[in-house]
Amino acid sequence: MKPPPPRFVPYEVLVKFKDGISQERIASILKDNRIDVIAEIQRGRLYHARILDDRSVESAITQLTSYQEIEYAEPNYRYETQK
Amino acid sequence: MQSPIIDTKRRSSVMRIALCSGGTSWGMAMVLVALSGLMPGDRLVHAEQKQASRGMTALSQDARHPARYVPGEVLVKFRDEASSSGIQSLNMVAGAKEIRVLSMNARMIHQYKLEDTLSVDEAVLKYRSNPAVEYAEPNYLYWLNATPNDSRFGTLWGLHNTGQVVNGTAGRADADIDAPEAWDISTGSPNVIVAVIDSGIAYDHPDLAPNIWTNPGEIPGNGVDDDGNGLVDDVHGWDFRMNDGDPIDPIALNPDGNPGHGTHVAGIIAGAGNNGTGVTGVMWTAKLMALRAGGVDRSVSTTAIVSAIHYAVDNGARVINASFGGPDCSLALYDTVNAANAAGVLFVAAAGNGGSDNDNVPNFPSNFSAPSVCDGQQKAALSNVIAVAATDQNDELAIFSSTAASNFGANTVQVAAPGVSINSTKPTSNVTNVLLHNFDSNPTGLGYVFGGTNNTWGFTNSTSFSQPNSLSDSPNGNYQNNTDSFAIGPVFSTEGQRGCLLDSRVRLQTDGIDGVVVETSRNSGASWQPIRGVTEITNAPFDPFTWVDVADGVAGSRFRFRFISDEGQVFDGVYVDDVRVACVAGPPSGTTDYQFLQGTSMATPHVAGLAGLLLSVDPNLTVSQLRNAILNTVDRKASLRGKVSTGGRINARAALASVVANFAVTVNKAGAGTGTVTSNPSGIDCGTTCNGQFLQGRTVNLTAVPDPGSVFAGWSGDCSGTDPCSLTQNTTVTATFNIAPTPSVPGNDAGGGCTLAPGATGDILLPVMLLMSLIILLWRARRR
Repeated sequence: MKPPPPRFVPYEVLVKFKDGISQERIASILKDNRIDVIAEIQRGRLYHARILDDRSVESAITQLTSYQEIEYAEPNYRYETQK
Repeated sequence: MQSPIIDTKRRSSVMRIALCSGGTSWGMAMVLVALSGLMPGDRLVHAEQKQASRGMTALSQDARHPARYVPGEVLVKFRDEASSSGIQSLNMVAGAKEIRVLSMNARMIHQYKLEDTLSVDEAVLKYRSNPAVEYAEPNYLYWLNATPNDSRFGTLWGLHNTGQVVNGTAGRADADIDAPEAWDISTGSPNVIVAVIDSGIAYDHPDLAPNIWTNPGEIPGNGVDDDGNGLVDDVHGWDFRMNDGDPIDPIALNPDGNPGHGTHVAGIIAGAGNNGTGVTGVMWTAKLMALRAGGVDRSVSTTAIVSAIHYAVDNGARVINASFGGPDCSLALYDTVNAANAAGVLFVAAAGNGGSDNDNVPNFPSNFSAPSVCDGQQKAALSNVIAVAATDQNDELAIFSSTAASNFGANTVQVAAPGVSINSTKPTSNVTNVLLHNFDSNPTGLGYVFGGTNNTWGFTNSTSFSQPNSLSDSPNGNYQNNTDSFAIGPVFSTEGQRGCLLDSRVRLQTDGIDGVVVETSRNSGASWQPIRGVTEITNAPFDPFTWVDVADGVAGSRFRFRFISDEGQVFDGVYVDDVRVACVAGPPSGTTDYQFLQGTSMATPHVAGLAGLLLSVDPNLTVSQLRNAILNTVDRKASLRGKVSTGGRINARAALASVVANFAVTVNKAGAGTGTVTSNPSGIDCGTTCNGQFLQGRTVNLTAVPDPGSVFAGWSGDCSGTDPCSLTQNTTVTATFNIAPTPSVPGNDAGGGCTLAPGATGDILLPVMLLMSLIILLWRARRR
């Protein structure tokens, strides 16, 4: 049995906010979209976040990218150490 | 045994030299050596002393290396006027067959293999006796100066390929990165930090431990974030996969899992060199920063990579090794590699092992080295990224198996480096089973809890790996649509354990979308972290499968299998057996383990190691200087043309030589006499070459040898006197040769009259050598 290429981590997204967006606004956007911050990655407003319900990663990203405050949202893509 | 006639002749020649040497002590020594040079079994002394007579004493004084030349080989440089027919007949007499012609600055040096007719020293003398020969010498092993004593160095064809058989395959000489030649310039530095973002590093491996980075701001094991970077006890790096301070490299116990990937990569970059054991890194000395981002399942998340890159940049790494890849372009990863570029950090990435063209099928992050499209956005090439393809022992683009080969890309891959049959360090695996469930006796007593939507989990004896029972989501047939059910295992502890993982035997049959996810908990099941999902149409019977990493040192550890289906087709579902939590990185055993691996993952650290070597020569190189030094000095290969943008495989020596500072030596000659000025190390042979470039930090010795009928009157300019002239910086010197006073006939006047200057002994040496070569030939003829 070979697993398919693990393309991204289930239930997780990476969200990058544009410069100048307040912490309050960021918190409210994430809360409204039922997204929980796992960690703010250093340097810049990049958030490693968890989807709190059964939405697919794709649908969560579609919702998030509709906000003009968000520069991008993407799956937590997986790469592989290569043999 | 020896004929009296020859003996007499020899004695007479000795007498002549002794008389004419005028009592200079090294002249006497040379006579004794010349004698011993005629003894059977004592090979090279002759030729070496001839070298010594020209001031190249370093070789003969260097007693570290017993074998100083390649057996049965000589190097010959003919004068420009030498005819090819004359060369051929001379080769015939010497019994020499051409191996190849070395060409440098339009100077042709012939490398010959000797048949049994003459020994190396005899052949050297034979060639030297011919006026068409400018010089002849043994194939001295200068590079031995930089050859390490590590016991497995002979297997490291990528560093030094002599055509040796490695892992059952013979290679081609010099299909390598010229590491020993590079080590003549630098073997690394403890001040150069190379970050390895990978499956971790066995930092306790004896062949790596001396070269592991230690965070100067952190006090080990005190449970305090001493340096205030938000990470507690990040001593050698960090585990961004499991978010703890132990970036050890746990080996999966099954095929397809982590083989000790990062430890292998680390040994290629900087396995401790010349420590008498194991392998040798491209860098003998370095500081390897252990940044674990990949799991035992070999997957590496973007968030772990991004965090690891930030850590590397913040903590002084100048080079990052990225031996991982995938098809997706992450904007977050692009931004982070771009930030590393701004910080002057080189990012060396594997091209991938799919055998595909990355120009057409993008591979990331290596494709950041060229313009790429990321989530619909056009992104510029990042000038700190080098994408690396793999070569084999014959400098061909590597083929790993019937289904795997090195990726390539005329625009998206820049260089190639060795990546087949690579020997390097392997973590010691000390397996402790914390938990092992075969479900065969009293499975209900194990403490599993089942639940969720459409839950039908249970134990079954319908199919299993270990008879009679297994655990299944749907023991009585197919699973249902819209299932989200789970089987939670009992609480267990990993306290005192390191490198823990969950594996099992698995049989899975779904429609390719439905599948099973393993989740883990550190708080006895209060919250779960989804880690790995598997979905595939398969009937494969209970293959061994490594699921996930399990956190070390947690008392309330727990896992669950979660089965999820949609509204499509339904199948038999999942069966698991022999569920195991194994902790594989116990206390270091002290044994040193090694293994062969292959892939662009192994090619990449050759390049990262080279970058580190370059920084050891000049830590102030900018990231673009660093990259250019590597890209502009490759050995171009027909096999790589159109496959990588440079068309070549890296050459460490050429790269280092391109950044190392040189100083220039210029020799002028004056006076009515004639003679030759040579240098050690070689570079000047004036007559022909009167300007030389030498590595900064080296001492160059110039020696003047007058032609017959001339004497060396002394140096002027930046040197004086008549002794060999030692130089360490830009210099212009003049050697004055005068016409010699009419010499008295050698051997007829023991009372004096032989008034040679110290530098003029070569004057008398050459005829003596010629005579000796005749003696040797006669003597050998007698023996037959």
